[in-house]
Amino acid sequence: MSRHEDSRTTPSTRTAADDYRPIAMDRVREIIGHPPPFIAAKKESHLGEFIIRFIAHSTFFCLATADDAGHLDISPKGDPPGAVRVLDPWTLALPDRPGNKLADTFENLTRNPAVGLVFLVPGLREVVRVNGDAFISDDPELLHMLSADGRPAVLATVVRVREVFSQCGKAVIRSRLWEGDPRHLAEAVLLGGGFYTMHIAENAAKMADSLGDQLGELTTIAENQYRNNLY
Amino acid sequence: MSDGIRALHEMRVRVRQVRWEAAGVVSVEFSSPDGRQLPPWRPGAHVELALPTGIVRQYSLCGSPQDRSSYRIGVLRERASRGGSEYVHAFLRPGQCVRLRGPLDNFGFRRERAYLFIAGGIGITPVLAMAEQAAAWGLPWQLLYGGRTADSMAFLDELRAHRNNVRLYPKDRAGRIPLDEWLERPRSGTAVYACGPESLLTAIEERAAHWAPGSVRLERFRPRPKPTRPDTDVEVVCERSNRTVIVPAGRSILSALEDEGLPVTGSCREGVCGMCRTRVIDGEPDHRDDIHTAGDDMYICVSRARGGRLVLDV
Repeated sequence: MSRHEDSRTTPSTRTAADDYRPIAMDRVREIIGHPPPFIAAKKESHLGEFIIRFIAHSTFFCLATADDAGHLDISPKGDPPGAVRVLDPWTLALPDRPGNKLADTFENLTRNPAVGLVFLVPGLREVVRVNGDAFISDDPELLHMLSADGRPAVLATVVRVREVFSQCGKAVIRSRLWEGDPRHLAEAVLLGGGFYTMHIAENAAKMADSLGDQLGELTTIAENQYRNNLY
Repeated sequence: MSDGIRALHEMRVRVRQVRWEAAGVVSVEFSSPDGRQLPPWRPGAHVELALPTGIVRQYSLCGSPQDRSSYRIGVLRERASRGGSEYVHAFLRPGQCVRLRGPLDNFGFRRERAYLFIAGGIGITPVLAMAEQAAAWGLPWQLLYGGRTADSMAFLDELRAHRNNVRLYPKDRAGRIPLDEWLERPRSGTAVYACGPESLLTAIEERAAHWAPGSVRLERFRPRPKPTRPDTDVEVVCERSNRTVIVPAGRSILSALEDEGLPVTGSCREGVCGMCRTRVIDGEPDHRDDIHTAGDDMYICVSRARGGRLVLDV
């Protein structure tokens, strides 16, 4: 590992990554296989009612942006639940609070509008992902809408939604992310149902096509996956 | 009355019903999850609703005080909502549990000889309960109720039972409430209770300036715009706690006492909700709130002192 010591002081020499050769997608597919049709078809072009409810209770999300050369940046954002506002099924507004003047995200957004978002709700294993294009706004009414603690947001990021999908809870389970939540947000999102019950309720027709008889068992399948197929 | 106000209940309640009442207005019914009776209240009272997202808002109770099994509020969805009315409309659903504090009574609704009620838009909520009470007492009353359009005016179906006492003014068809006509001649023994947008309340204050003092009572959703008055330091003696706090200019008495860990409570922090009502033992308060029913009390979130020193029952 002495080579790594060198690479810290003299970058652009060989690094650990150079010990490995990239493989192509066909080799990746050989290893992981192909997704079942219902997974491949799960992307939507707008925010459904349940996804909106999910985002309205989310306290934590990560925002990925890229510069004009395609270099990516990802930034975790935490706020009281409901800080990200759904303006309509095609539009999100993200608040920027005072304090962080680093502005990597804003630098990127002014050069390249592409964003990727992942939303989490304390106590829920499944996550919601949104990809789209964003721009920065200083509209006073919008900043007022994004107030926290009686103070308006400093800036707003407006996201035009391109694709929306939810993702199963394996990552959250493996990381043991939630220690329990006194606010009962998970309860508030699910209204006594389960994540997949709510999801199926909204997308029944499409999922019946792709899942057939398995549709009614989706919760069982997911629970089984969480229990027996985590690694 | 102030004793009733200080006995603040905090409770967990379950949403029993969410009902579309008019364009942009829903009513929400809350009941105790274990079926227990809810604390009593008088017409004009409001509760503080804490949503699962942590947002806290005040809403007038608009059901029947006789029915202790549930509370009802009416909520207008604000176009540029900061998340409160949006949550109630878009996400609050039957079965969900939320926290309530109150009820609080700032209006001070009392038995009078006759009533003139005036409501603008969602301001109907406290007025509805007061009008129902006046009807139950068999006292003479009139309600003038204005709104943008008939579509946007909530509880019209319930008011139909009192159609001889109610005048509706949907602005697009009937124009504004003719306040001059109704307020020109002060009627002794008649109390005016009004709730609505600032423009309506300001107009009522102007038109009813010649009415007997105390006969016109208003409730505001938001603090009235007022010129900023210069602040000076206030020496606050908290008698029960045996502590003295110097509140610097630019800082509220409420937040200064909170920082010192003293037992005070607040909510709106802009002089409208009444949560921070505190008894004054000595000193002259400089009242800056929009509630105007302080008596020997003051609202420490906005009010200050005239003599630079106050002794409070804290």
